[in-house]
Amino acid sequence: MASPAIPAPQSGAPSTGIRAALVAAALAVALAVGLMVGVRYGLLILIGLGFGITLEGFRFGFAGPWRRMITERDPGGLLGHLLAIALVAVVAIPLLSASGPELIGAHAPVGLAMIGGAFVFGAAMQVVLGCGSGSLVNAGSGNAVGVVALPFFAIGSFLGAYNLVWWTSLGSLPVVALEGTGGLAITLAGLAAVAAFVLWLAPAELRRIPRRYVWAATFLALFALLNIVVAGQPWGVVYGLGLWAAKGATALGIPTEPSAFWGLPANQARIAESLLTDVTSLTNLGLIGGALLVTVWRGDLTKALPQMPARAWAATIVAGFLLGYSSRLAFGCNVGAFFSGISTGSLHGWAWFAAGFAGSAVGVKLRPGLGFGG
Amino acid sequence: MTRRTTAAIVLAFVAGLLAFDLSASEPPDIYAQPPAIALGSGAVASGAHCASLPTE
Repeated sequence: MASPAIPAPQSGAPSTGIRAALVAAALAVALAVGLMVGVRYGLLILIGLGFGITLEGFRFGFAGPWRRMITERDPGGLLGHLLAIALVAVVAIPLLSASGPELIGAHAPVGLAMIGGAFVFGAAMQVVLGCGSGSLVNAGSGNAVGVVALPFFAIGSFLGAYNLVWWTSLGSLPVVALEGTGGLAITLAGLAAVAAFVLWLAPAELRRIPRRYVWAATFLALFALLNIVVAGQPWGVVYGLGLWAAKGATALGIPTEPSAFWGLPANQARIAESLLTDVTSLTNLGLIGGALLVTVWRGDLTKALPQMPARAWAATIVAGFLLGYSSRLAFGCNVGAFFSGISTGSLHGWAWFAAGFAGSAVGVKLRPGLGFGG
Repeated sequence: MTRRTTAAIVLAFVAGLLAFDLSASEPPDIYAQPPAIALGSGAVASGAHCASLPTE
């Protein structure tokens, strides 16, 4: 993930006509959803496309930059994350404080299972080099590891939610949400403190944010804010994936009603309704589509698939499952908890950051032994 | 084998997911759609999010 941003035509790149047809097809899907299901849902497809195009177009992820911070003390990508979160927080925290019940933040309690889940997620995302958003982007771009991991991510998310109430009963604090001007000031001060710390850790020649990360952070923040304004809630990933598996389980005759989570009337209604009315399903589908669009645009579909030993594929399946399961215990992944939690003032976002980063340090060490190479 | 194969698998997965969803779910009611934009609508946020507590 170290090559330049979007316009990188290669010898296998498609013609202008094919590129235009790709963009037209993506817009047509969003228009069709908007006309046949609802305007909000069409807009959410567009926002998801924006996320996918930004992440794949600028080659901006979460797992890779965290890995580089751990292994090389290169803080560029992590500083990009902090910048994006700060940009969202500057608007979102005051907006949430001033708005009525139509807008909610990604607010969840800090707890034992939440911290443990974030740690496991951090380790697993380094094993497959794909986080919540990264797994979708990787799958959309034809990355074989991402394609294999994604269905197991969905199954893990479904089962993690199935048992969520038991896990949270192990011990949780009350929800702490930083609000208003004071909450924003604390959040920005925290982000600045982390930025100063990682800059202090970094060698002098790496103390900067590459320009493409600044652009990526800016676009990511823009789409995250649009997500809040349109959907009434912050950007998330894992609920939608779990819902896909829940619908599959229902079709197979596996009852979801016994679950304290899936058995709730609101969740039963969502299992019965179309995915095209579910916020995170729509942005997830848009993310996959946006990544695919950029990959085809660049001509990257001609890349050969990796040759990996069987244990690496087995590890991909296990890590994919753990990504899903652990992110439900953690009240979100790198997107729903770290990015959206901190940027909407939730203390659990900060706890997720610490635990997830510690887990990533372990995951980086696990990766070579699992057959993925360095 | 190239990414053409895996990308085709993903496209087939998404198409299959949507086809299954549309056949197995209640049909979307265009007349029951929420306001286009939540901000300023006054409607209580009702979407599901991974950070939401299971009691909600």
